[in-house]
Amino acid sequence: MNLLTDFFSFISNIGLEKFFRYFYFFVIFEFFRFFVLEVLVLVYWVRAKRLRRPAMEEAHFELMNRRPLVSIIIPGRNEGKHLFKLVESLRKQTYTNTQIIVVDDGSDDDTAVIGRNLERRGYVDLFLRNDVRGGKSSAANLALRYARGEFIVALDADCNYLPDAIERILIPFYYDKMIGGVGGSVQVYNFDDSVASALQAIEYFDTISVGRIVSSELGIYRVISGAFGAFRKEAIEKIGGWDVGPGMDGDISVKLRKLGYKVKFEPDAICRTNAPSTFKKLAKQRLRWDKSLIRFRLRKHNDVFFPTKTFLWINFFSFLENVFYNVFLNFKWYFYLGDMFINFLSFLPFIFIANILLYATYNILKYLIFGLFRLRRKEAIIYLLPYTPLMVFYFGYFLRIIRTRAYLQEFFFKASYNDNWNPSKSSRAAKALRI
Amino acid sequence: MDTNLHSTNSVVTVGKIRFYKINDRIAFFWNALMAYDGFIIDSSNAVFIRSVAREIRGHHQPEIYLKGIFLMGNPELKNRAVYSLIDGFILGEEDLNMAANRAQEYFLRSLDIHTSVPKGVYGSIIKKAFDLLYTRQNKTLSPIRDTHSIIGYNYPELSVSFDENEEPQVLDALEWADKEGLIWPDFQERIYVCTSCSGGFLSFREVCPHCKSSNIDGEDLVHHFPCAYIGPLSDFQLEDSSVLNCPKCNKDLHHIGVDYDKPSVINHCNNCDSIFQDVYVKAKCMNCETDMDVQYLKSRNINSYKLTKKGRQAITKGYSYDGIEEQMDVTLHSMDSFLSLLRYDIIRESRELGDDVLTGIYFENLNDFASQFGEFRRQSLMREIALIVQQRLNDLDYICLEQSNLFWIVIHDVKNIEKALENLVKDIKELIDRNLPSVKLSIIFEYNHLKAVSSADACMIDLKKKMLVE
Repeated sequence: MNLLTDFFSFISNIGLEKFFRYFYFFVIFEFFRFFVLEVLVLVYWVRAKRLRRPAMEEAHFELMNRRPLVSIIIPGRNEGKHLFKLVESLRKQTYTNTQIIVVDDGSDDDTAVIGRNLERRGYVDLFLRNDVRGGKSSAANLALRYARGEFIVALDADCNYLPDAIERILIPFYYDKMIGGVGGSVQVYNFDDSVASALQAIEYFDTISVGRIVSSELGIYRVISGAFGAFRKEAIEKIGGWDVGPGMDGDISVKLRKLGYKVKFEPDAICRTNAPSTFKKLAKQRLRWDKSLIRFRLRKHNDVFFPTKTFLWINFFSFLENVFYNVFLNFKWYFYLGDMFINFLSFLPFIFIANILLYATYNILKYLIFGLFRLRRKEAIIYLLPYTPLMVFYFGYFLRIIRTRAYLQEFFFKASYNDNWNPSKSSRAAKALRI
Repeated sequence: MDTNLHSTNSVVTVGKIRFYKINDRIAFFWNALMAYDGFIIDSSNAVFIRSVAREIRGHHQPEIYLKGIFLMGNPELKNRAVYSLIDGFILGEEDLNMAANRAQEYFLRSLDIHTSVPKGVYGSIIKKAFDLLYTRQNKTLSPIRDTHSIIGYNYPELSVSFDENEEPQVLDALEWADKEGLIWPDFQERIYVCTSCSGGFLSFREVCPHCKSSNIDGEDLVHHFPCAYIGPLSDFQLEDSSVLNCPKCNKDLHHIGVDYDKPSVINHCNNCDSIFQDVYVKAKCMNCETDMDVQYLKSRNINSYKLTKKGRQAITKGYSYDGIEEQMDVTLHSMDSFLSLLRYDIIRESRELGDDVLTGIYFENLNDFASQFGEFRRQSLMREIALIVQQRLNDLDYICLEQSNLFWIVIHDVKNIEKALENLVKDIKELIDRNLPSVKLSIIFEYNHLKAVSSADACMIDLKKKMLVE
C-alpha cells in the first residue's frame, strides 16, 4: 500500500523537467519517431493516396489491359502440407495470367509427391525439385531461372492470399516504371492461437503494416517481405536474383535500391501468414532475422554509407535510420537503464512502473489511432485490444533481449553463417567470400 | 533291334522301324505319312528344318506330332527352340539305331496315352503338349528366349500350334491349364506386353509430359554455393574453356561438393519448348505401333511349368469331363461307360442276329471355330449338334463325345446306315448354314458293323484311322 502511495506521490511531484529526465528514452526515441512522426506521415499518406488515385487507377487499367505474364514462385522445404491450400488460394486470384512455379528444396517429407501431383493436375505449371538441399535462395533462383513472366511474385508456401492480392501488388509497377520491387502486407492469420501469436499480430499490424506504409512514403522502405514480394523481372535479373541467406528478403531489397530502383510497400495487397505460436519458436525466428541486420546492413552493404559510385542519399538515410533505431538505440537502452540505476536507484521501482504504464498507454493509443488507417480485416482489432498493454513486455523486454543477443552473436561470431536455416555448404562458401 | 538298314530316296528302314526322310520343300500330305515311325530331316537349311519341325509338332494328329524327329548331320540351328522339337541327331549308323529305339519307345509310350481331351478352347493344344512330354519322359514345359516369337519367349511344345503372332495365346493356354490344376508354375520372368496386340517387343522412351514427344534433352542442374545461383550445366559452360564459370558471380567452379554441386536434372522439350523434371515413360509396340503409358502395360509371367499329379494322371487316365457335355440336354455317355456298352454289344452281336453299327462323326476344324468364335459358342454349337444326333437315334442307341470334336455313336438294327448318316450330316450342315453361314465345318464320318470287329478298341482305332487319313 505504501508503495502505491509513494508511487502516486512520485508521479504527482515529478514536474516536466524530471519527467523528461526520467523518461527521455521514451519521449525522444520512441514517442516522436514511432508515434508523432508516423501519425504525421499517415495523415500525409491518406492525402497523397487520394491525390495519387487517378494515376493508380490508370496504372491498374494498364495492368489489366496488358495482362503481362506473372511468374509466381514458391520456394520451400518440407512445405508439402501447405501446397494444396496455397494453390487453392492462387486459383481464386483475380489476376489470372500467371505461371506458378513450386521449388522443393530437398524436402524429406512428401512434398515431392504432392508437388508432382499438383503439376500433373495442372494446378502448378512447373514443379522443380532439388534432391539435395541448397537453401531457400538457391530454390528461389532456380524458379527465377525458369520463370517466363514479366514480373516475379515470390511467396511463402505456408501463407494464403486475398483474392486480389496478386493484382494489387502489380499495380505500382505501372504507376512508376522505376519501381523494381513491391512488398505486400503480411497479416497474422492465426492471431487467436496463443498469446505469442496475438502479440505478433499487433506487431505485424504496427511495424509491418503501418511502419512500412510510413517508411515507403518516406522512401526508406527496405525489406520486401519474403512471404509476399513482387519484382520486375528485368530488375531482379540485373541483381542476379537472391544471395545466400538468411535475411535474403532484406538483402534483395537493398540490392534493388542500390541499383537505383525504387522499392515500395503496397498495403492493399494482403497476405496472411501463420506466425510462430510459441515464444520459443518466435525467439528462434527473431534471432535469425536480427542477425541479418548486422550481416547485411553493417557488413555486406556497408558501402551504402560511403561515397561510392552507387551512393544515393536516400539509401544512406534509410540505412542510417535502420541502424540508429534498431542497433544504436537497442544498446542505448541499456545505457538508459544504467543511468537510472546509478542516478535514481531509490526511484527505480517507480520509474519502472511509470515506464510500463507509459508504454502501455502509448501502445493502446497508438493501436487505436493506427487502427483508423488499417485497410481491410478490421475484425481482429477488437480481439487484439486487450493484448496491447502486454506489448510493453513484448517489445520492451522480450524482443529487445533477443535482438541484443542476435546482434552480439553476429557482430562477434558471425553466427548467421552457422544457422541451420541454410545448408552449411552454402553458408561456408558465402562466409569465405564475405557475402 | 534289327539293325538291317534299308534306304530309298525317302524311306529309311532300320529293322521294323521305318523313317520318312524329308529333304526337300515339297508339300507334305502328312496324313499319308502316319504309317511311318518317325521322320528324318536331311537338310542343312535351318529355316527349312525349323519349318518342318514346327509342321510336324504342330499337326493335330498324334500319329504325326508324337513321332520322333531326327536330324541328319549336325547343322547349325540358330533358333534354340528348334532343338526342343528335335529328338536327336543322326551322324552315323549307330545313331540310326538310337533313332529307331527312340521311335519305338515313343510309340510304345503313346499307347498309354488316353484319347480324351481336356475341355475348353485350349484343350487339344494342351493335350498335344502333354502327350509330347509323356512320350519324351519330360516333366517340364520350359520357356526359351526367341526373337521370332512376338512375346520374345517360346514354349516349343505349345508354340508350334500357333503362329508366331499368336504366341500370347500360348500363355493363355498355360494359364488355363494351371487354373485347371494340370500344371504347376515356377516363376522365371515377368514381361510387359502391348495392350493392343500383346506383343512383347516394346520400345521404352522418355517423353515430354506436355506434347509426348521423345525429342527431349536432359541436363544436370548446377548449384554454385557462394552466390546461390542455380541453373542448367550449359549456363556454366564457356565456349572457349572447359572450366565451369558461374554466370551470376563470374567465378570459376572448382570442386564438386566444395563450391558447387548438382542437385537435380532438368529436361527441355525441343518440340514444344517446355521445361520439366519428371519425364513420362511411354512404350511403343514394335509390332502394332501402339504407343502407350507404361502403367497401362499388361504384365505376363513367364513360368516354367511342371506337370502336377492330376496332369500326369490325366495323360494316361483321361481328363474328367464336367463342362459342356454335362450342360447338354442330351444323354452323353462317358468314354468308359461307352466302351463298356460297346464291348457288350460286340459280344452280343457275335452271338445274335442283328446289324449294329459303330459310327464316328468327326468335326475336323472345330478348334478353329472355337478360336474364332469363342468357347461359349462352340459349346452351344455342339449342344445343337448333339440334339440333332439324338433326335435321329432310338432309345437303345448311345452316344459319347471324345476330344470335344468326335462323336461316337452305336446305332442298333439300322437298315441303311449309309443313307442314315448322310441325312444326319445333311441336317447338321443345314443347322450350321442357317446359324453360321460364314462357317464351313468339315464333317467326316465312318462306320463299322459290330459283327465284323473283334474288339472295341481295335474297332475305334480302325475308324479313327479312316477318318483321320481322309
